[in-house]
Amino acid sequence: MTFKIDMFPSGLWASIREGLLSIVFAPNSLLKPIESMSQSFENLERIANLNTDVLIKHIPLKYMLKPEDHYQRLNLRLLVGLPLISQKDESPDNIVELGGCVSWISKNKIDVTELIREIRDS
Amino acid sequence: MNSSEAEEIYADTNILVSYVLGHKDRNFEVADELFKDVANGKYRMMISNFALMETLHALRVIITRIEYQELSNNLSQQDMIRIANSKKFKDRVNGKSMRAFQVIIDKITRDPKHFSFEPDGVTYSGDVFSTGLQILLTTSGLIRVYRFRCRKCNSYTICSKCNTDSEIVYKEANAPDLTHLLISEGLDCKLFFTMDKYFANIPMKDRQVEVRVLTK
Repeated sequence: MTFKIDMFPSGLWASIREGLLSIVFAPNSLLKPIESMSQSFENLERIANLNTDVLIKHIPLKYMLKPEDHYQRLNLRLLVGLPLISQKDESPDNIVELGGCVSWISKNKIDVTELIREIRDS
Repeated sequence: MNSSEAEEIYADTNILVSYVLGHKDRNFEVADELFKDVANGKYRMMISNFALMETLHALRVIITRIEYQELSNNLSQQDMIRIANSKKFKDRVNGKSMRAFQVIIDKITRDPKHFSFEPDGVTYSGDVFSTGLQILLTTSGLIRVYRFRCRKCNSYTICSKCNTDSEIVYKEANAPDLTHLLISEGLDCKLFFTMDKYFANIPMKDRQVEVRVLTK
């Protein structure tokens, strides 16, 4: 099936035609605000890049993120394929949840101390 | 007591793995006592990358052994080789151990109050290993006799050829144990906790870290 111009309602075709013309032959007055906006974005981008450069060069990542060992913890999470976390995701109760958190790996009792002794002796 | 007042301690891999296994480990109650002290703010637990490497390896060994034990009996060596080389078996071992390791890492990394991590860029001098060698030269291990056990069903067994039911083995804290101990010193920990009784034989003279062997 092919479309012919006379298949569109006359009003709709007129709108489409005017829109296409304004894009191709846009007057300067219409383009000016768009140009100035794009310049502002370029400036912002330059400033952002400059700041990032300064930060990367002069401030180690661990101080940018948080004191103590936040960087090590994030690095460890990335290594094992876990999503990064922010301060609000931290929980001091996790130590309790850690107890028995992987008990599902075994049906029977295991002597881990003996097993690790075997690994170290082998 | 807040976390800044807590004493920094190093936990051996057996304590960490025992605690995450819960009641599935025979010594869980012992590990649990130490973790209660950490939860109460008495200690803050240092987690070294060396201990994490060993934790992952231990999980892989445990899961492989469990998968092996759950196979049907009377399998020939050819059957075992076919199973061990199958993608399904490998994926099950790798998938389960990785999931377990991720759970552990997720929990400890979300709790900066009770766990601290090896600082970025920390370097260990070669003295670590020469000190380890010196320690090992001053110690002598224990010679023990163990009965043969079937790794599949845990029953005692006898060699069909020489009709022997036991073996004589040399037991001592060795290179990986001493590396843990010397890492703990490098990380400024004052106490080293383990459940492995062979640490008790390591001479503590002039050592910066005090070893505590936890038992039932």
